[in-house]
Amino acid sequence: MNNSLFKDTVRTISRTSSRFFSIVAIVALGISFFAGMNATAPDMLDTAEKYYIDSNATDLRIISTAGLTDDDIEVLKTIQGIEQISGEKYVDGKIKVNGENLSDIDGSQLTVRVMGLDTKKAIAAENGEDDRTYINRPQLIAGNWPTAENQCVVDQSTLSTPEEFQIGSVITVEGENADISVSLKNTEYVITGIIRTPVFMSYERGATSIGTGKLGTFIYAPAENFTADYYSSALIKLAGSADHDPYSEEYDKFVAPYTEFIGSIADERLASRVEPLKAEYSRKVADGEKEYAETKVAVEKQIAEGEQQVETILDMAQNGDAKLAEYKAQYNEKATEAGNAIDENKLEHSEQYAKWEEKRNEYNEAKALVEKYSTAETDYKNAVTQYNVAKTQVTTFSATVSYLENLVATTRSAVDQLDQSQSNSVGDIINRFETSGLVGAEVDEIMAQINSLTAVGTAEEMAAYLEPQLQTLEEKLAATKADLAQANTELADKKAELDEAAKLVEKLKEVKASLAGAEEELAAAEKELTSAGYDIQLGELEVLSQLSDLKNQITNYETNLQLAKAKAPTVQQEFEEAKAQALSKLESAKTRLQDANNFLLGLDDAKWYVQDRDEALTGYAEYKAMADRTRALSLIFPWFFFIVAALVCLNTMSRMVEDERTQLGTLKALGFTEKEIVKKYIVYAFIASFFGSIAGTFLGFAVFPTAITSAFSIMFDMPPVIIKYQLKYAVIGILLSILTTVGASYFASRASLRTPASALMRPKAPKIGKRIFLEKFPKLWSKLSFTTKVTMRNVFRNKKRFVMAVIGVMGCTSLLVASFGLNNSIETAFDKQFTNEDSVVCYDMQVILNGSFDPTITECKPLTIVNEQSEVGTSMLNYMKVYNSTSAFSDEKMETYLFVPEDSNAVSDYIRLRDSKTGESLILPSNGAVITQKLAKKLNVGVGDSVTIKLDDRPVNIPVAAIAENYTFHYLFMSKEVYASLFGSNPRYNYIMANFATNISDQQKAELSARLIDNYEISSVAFSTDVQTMFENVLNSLNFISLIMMICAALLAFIVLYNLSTINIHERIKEIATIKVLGFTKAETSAYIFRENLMLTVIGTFIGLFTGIGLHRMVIAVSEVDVIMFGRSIGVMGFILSAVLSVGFSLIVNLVLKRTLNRVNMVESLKSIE
Amino acid sequence: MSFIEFESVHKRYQSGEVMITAADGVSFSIEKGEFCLIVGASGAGKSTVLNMLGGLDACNDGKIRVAGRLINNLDENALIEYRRYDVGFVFQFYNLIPNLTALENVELASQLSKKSFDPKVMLKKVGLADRMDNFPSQLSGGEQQRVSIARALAKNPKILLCDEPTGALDYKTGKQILKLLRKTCRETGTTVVVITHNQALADMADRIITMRSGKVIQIAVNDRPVPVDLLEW
Repeated sequence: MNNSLFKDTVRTISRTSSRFFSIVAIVALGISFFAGMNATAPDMLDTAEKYYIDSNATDLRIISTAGLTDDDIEVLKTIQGIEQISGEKYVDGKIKVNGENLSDIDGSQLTVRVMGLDTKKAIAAENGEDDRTYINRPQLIAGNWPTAENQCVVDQSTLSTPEEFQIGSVITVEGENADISVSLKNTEYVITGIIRTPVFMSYERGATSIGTGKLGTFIYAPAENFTADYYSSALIKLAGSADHDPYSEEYDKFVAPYTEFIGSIADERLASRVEPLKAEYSRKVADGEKEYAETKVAVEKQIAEGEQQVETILDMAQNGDAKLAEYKAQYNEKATEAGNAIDENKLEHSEQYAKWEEKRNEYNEAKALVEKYSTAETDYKNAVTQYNVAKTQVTTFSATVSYLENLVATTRSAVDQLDQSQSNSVGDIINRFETSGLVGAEVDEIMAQINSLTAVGTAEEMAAYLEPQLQTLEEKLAATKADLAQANTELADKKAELDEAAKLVEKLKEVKASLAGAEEELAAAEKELTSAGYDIQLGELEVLSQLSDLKNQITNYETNLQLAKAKAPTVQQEFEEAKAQALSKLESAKTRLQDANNFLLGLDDAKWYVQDRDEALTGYAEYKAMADRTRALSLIFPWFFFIVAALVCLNTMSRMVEDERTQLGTLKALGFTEKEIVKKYIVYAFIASFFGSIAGTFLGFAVFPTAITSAFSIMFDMPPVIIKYQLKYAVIGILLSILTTVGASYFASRASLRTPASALMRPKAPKIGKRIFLEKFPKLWSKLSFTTKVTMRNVFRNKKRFVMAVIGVMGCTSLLVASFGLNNSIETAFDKQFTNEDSVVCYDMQVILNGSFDPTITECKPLTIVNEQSEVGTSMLNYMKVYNSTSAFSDEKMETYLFVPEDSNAVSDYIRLRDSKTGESLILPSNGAVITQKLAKKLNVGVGDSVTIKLDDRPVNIPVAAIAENYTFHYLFMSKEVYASLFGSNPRYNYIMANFATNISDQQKAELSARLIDNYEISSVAFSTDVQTMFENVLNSLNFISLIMMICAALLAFIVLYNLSTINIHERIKEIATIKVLGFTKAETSAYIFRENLMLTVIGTFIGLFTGIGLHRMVIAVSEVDVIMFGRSIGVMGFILSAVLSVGFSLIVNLVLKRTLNRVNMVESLKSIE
Repeated sequence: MSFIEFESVHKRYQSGEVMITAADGVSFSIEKGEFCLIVGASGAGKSTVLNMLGGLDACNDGKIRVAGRLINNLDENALIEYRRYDVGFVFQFYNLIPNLTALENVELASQLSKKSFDPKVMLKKVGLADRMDNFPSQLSGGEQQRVSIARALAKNPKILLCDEPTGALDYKTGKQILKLLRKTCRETGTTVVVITHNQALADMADRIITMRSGKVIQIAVNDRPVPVDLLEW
């Protein structure tokens, strides 16, 4: 290029910077759309590929219903081509966070899969180690890996992960009808980190055997927690799988043979696994039966005892006061009685004492008597002695008397003889004395005398002698006789005395006897007295102890009564709870038994499921589908911006060529060739579009994949999208934009270049004024105000400007409509499903039960509990279970809720089933199920077709009887009769739907929920209002894409309108100056110009509102979540807001340009036409 | 006091690094109902004077009075009002709105003023009764200028300012336009100020102000203006 021409170009750029930048901007916008949207799908797939490589995502997964052993793993390892294999353990359960029950987004109780995590490998991998045996590695996003067995990591899916999953929260895992601690060492885990894992990419987590069958969430806990000696599944990495792009056909072809081969060895492996298990489980079943029976007995006993206890407590609480009063009365009575008894005893005692005293007196008297006669015996003895003495005296005296008498007589005789004879010799006298036999001193003396006499004397001497002797003897005799008499008297006295003494002795004997009696009696009396004394003491003691016992009893009773009273209000419930727990234990024992039994029975059908990534990684296939949809969208969207860019460029360049008409002519006249002249404009356009497209490419690559994937992030938990500056799209984009702009400038300048130089240098003839179409209707036209006419004519006359403005504004409005529509679609779905007056869902509360009930067999207690709540108006039992449904007409596999109400007639109180087409109310038919509309669409079935669900691998075909309006999740509604006929058994109801009697506040709801959950039978409570949160989440995550769309809309409007307006102002600068000179006020001047903008905007907006509907459909098609059927309506407000905003953007442009307009110098009007 | 008075009016422009004095102490006065010609060569400052008089541009110094009212210190809104009600402007290049018919162009102005004349009457007066619905592009230069005059007069202004009204016209048409202006002046009593570089027109005016290099070098009052038809150039 000629140097001065180049300078001119550069100067032109700086002079017309706003135009230049409007080209740069529109090209940037267009290219960013083109590059960004086109790059999104490849970026998504690249991200996925890198993610699968980084996380060493499994190629195959084998799930064995009988579990996999180390032997199995070893055998599998020997298969050629298997690079790595590792066993995987997991356990499914239910979950609590910080002690609170959790509900899934569908209101059912949240189920959880506890996945085994090799923490060492996880930490090693974190530190960059690439351990190939570590398959399906979770990636840590926040926090730390677990360092203790009771720690875990969780994910953070917008839709599926409970908000309560925060680092530091405590998760409690519980079994369903079973103690999960059998399988897990720890049941409480502290969240230490947030991860993402390729195993759960989608917000749908797949299926589980517990709860409603839908897996709610998952956690990764250290593998040491798992007690099982077998693996739930095995993960397989195939050698060389990284050489094939995931999602590519070659990858599928690469994997397929392995799937087939592993499938072929399954039976053999299973056989070796199943036989020992059979033996083990037969034993387990036997043990289980025994345990069950024992438990049953124990539980029944416990219940009986408990009932008794409850009765006692209740009775006590009720009648205890009366009884206590009674006891107290009794006590008082007894106390009185005891007092009386003691008094009586005392009285008796005193009586006894008196008696004793009497006896003692008697005794004393007797004793005195005895004492008195105590000499009697001695006296008697003495008397006897005296008597005997007397007697002896008597005897002696008598003998003496007789002796003396004889002696006297003999002497007398001797004396007489002597007198008579005086012969008698001495011999004779001696003889006489001798023959008299008398012995005595007198005799001896006499004899001796005589003898002495004989010799000397004779008889006279003898007589002389004897005669005095005789006298003395006689005297002696007489004296002795007197002595004898006296002795006899004395003897008589003594005898009397003796008799008397004998009498006294007798008396003494008597007295002694009486003393003995008295003593005896006294002793008896004393004994009695003592005993009476004892009696008193004992009696008192006894009474006191009795009383104190009684008192203690009363005190105890009082305490017990208080306890009973305190317990009374709750005891029944406590008992019921305990009973329920015991029963549930029993039930769970039964379940375990059944499980074991089922497992045993199932062993015959044990299976290996060999899953490829489609099945092993949830969301794997869906992610690809999403990428494909994005690709489809990227084929349409950017072209629109290209067109706008081309138009903006064309417009700008034409204006420039017009502006430089004279210069063009001059150059031409100076001899420059057309090529050289046109180069300037081409260079101008090239530079603008080059910078624009470079900027746009970078911007687009950076913004769009991020924005679009962030919208998908509610569905997929993937690493941040990898932004690749994809050369292909950059080059295509840049070339396209340059081609477009350069083409447009060539096109713009071409016409002018054809004009001869001389003509070019002359002022251009004024534009030809033309009447517009509307003026053919003078009646209408004449009614328009003057200014409107002017505006209309200006608007419609410049076709290029018209088209461009209309397209630009239309695009802007369409984007806005689509953006608002997107929100509205979700809100509509939400409203129609939940909040409208005739919303599909009209129940207020869902109560998920612990266990399931068949009311034809057992009473459903939770239903009673729910109905007892004052807030609850009506309620109904339901059966709900999640199945994957399929159909013969579609490849889709849809997660579907099978829903069976207990009372088919009452369904309408809780869910309004309406025909999706006619809107007529549906009654649960007897010939099949009612399915929801999106399910019908996805499965491509209609009334009369059937959908299939698999019940334990057995396909059940369910005829479709009607299709119902529904917006969230997929349902199969059927009556219990239909269920029974299809499934062969009555449904076991597992949850309750209820309506409130009146509207209640959030706090009341919380209270109600807490009250209900307190019951063991109730596992969780969800209010239909809770679902709002979920939709807010969906909305929030779409906000970014909405925002991007709005920004694009605004940019589009600004760029196009600004470009057009500046050119328009520039083009009409003289006109503007003129009307200013004519005295137009500022407001009138702007109105004069901007009315046109406004009219163009209005037209563009009007068209845009319609094209927006189409755009909205496209956007929805891409962003729709499977479980939600977005509304297709945009909403009046959406249209209004879009229109208002579009016009608003235009007004903003006007406002900005008003200053330009104000700056237009009136002196311009004096200049000649250039 | 004269109808229009300029009192030592200065106007300076900053053009790049050079200060240009376009009006350097311009003083003159024009009586009401006069047909005044401001004559001078290109760059003499006549357009500057016209701009300032027409309220298109402000002066840096000095006083401008129109009908006894100082207009050099009016604020923007007052200036707009002044242009709107007191001034009619006729441009060298007619400055018709190409997208409006002749009638509409006149209407555009007439709707601005409360005391305006009927646009159709105005067009009849300038002899365009049968071209009213034509667009400017369908009209000849003279016709366009006549529309322009009609437009300026439709507002019933106090002064009519004409910037080289014949500059883009041929001789004959130019004369017709001048005749029209002269006639308007006479018939309506409107004060008409025409700027031109054409000295030959001087004789037709009541007052001739000659300018050179931003200064008034001569003010002549012509008691016997020559009819336009007699002028030759």
